[in-house]
Amino acid sequence: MIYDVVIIGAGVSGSAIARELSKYKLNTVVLEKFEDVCSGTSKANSAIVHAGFDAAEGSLMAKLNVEGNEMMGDLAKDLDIPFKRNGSLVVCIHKEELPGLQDLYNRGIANGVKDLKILSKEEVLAMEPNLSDDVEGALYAPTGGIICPFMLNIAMAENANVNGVDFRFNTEVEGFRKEGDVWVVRTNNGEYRTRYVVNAAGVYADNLHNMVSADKIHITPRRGDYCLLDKEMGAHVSHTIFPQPTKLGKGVLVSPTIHGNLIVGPTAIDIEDKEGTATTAEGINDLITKAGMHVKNLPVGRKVITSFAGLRAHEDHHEFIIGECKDAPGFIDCSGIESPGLTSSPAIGRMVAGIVVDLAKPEKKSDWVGTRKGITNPSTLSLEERNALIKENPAYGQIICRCESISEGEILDAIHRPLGARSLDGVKRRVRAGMGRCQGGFCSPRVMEILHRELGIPVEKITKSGGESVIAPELSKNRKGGEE
Amino acid sequence: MQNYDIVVIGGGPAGLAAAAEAKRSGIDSILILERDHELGGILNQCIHNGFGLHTFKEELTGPEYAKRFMDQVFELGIEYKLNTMVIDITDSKVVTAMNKTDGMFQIQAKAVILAMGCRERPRGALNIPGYRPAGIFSAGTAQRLVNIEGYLPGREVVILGSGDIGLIMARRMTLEGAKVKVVA
Ligand SMILES: Cc1cc2nc3c(=O)[nH]c(=O)nc-3n(C[C@H](O)[C@H](O)[C@H](O)COP(=O)(O)OP(=O)(O)OC[C@H]3O[C@@H](n4cnc5c(N)ncnc54)[C@H](O)[C@@H]3O)c2cc1C
Repeated sequence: MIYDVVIIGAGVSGSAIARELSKYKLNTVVLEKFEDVCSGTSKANSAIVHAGFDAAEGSLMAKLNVEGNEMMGDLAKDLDIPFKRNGSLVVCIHKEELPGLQDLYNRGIANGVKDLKILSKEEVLAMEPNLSDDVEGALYAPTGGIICPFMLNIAMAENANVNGVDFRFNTEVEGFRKEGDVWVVRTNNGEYRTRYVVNAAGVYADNLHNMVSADKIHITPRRGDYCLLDKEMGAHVSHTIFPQPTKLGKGVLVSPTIHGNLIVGPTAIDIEDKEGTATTAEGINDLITKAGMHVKNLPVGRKVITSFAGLRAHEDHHEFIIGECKDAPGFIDCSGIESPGLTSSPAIGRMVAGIVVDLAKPEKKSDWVGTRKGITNPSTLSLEERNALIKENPAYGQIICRCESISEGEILDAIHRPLGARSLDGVKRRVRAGMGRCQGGFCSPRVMEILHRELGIPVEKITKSGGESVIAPELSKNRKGGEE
Repeated sequence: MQNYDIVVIGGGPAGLAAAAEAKRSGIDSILILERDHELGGILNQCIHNGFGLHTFKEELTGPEYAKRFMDQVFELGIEYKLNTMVIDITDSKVVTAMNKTDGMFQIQAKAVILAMGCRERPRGALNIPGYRPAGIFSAGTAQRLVNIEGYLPGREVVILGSGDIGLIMARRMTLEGAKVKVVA
């Protein structure tokens, strides 16, 4: 069969594009080399819905950031995912740098960011008492927000899938060939024939682009390390606190997460390895020092529950590269999607789909469903509602993850919904089992048991995140029946 | 709302012993809430011996030791609920808990005994840098996998921490046929 569109990569970009394309009568498939959606950069970032004052005036990045930010409210509602406009503050701690705030403000206005305001020391301290005593003023962007990056990615993919887009996991694109007007996409799992290819491969997008185009691009994985703090610290600040930006990026922020933790990070370290998501002691120490310059009483060392790193797909010109490849008709790039890629994703989806639609001229579907019912979160329900839920499905009465109070019912939903979870991390990203204070110490054996029971995967084959990542590869002697 | 004089949260040896003692001291209205599917707490997975030397002047395994306290609770007819997770306690001692059969319910207690044991601090809480692959376990999780679930987390093992827990796990993994390369 010949597909209309092959999308490479099931991160936020690929998933947003898939969802937009699912509005049309097109045969679309998403190829993802990992076992699940949201397995690349989209799973490890600050999860801030940026207001849009950072990106250079007139850049595509600035345009899509502001559009994406504006679209996020409705999208989050439609897809039933948590999102909050908690507002961002860029904090100045050196008097001589106050003009920098004005520059940012001006850029924001030029980019079309609404409701920006420069605050005095007194005003900003009244909003955030835990800011450093050195604070001199701040830029306030009420449209800045926080989101669940996993659910944004997963929900867009689910919704695309429900509307007919296929997803193939553990499928890595290895090369391309052209047969007339048809692209033949070679993977470890066979070939896919298609009229159009969309390259949304994150840090790998340059490799794929360079296979088909003489006009080379180059992406540097720019690592960002983070510390995630216990929910006890979740109210330490209520806005997202940024330092003033530098050449390397937006700097180390301190922010509540949508789930009530406090996130501190990221660093910005250029590396070569496109899978180099290992944190380093220097990186972590660096971000602890930097965070402490703007926010006081921050016990990162004592309250951290985990640290992690994500890789920005930094293209040499620090710009999103979106468009049909001039020397490879039908091959559409969506590359260089570094921050604010998460924020921009709804707008990226719309723009890339627009390019495909202009080329393919498909008909619109009449039965497209743009809404999705999220996984029921019992902790948002009243006692009565919760009891009704447990009565209807007793699995909601069995708590599996103690730290986050996640019930078996939620885990079953995560497994059985479209594009459901098949690994511990898959469950974790969908319902947070294992994302709390003990980081899965208690619940992982139980979640393994549930995955085994529901999917028929032997426990010894259950993985943390697909591939080789099995957790308990053998039966114990006792279970083997003492043959040893 | 139900009323109890004492609500004990946690059905491990501490909670069981506290409940038994309260009962013997004349309090009848006691409820133990346990989130696991059996009483005994963490000792159920501590199948090595060395428990009970002080209290029972005998060397018992963890489950045997826990059983002594379970028996006391059974003999004294103390009420308990399994698979029941406490999710909130208010200043006025209203305990909110839930399970599959009762749903979510509240109990007014006159006193609450907290005997929930403890939680292992994961690797992340110690800020140990690096990748986050499969195969890194806290001692308790590895112990549970081997002793309760019946799975071996791996054949080649490095143990970080050489206190008694590290050594107990080194012994256990060796007995299971794994090669413990280092205890550091
Ligand atoms: C430290 C850091 C902080 C950030 N903070 C923010 C923020 O606060 N707000 C914000 O808006 N943005 C932020 N971002 C940016 C945002 O996370 C990214 O822009 C966005 O997640 C990129 O999504 P993507 O889908 O393009 O890439 P990815 O999520 O990486 O998805 C690409 C996918 O392609 C797959 N793939 C690659 N090669 C192949 C192949 N050959 N075959 C098949 N599949 C393949 C990969 O496995 C991957 O799943 C941050 C990024 C980082 C690293």
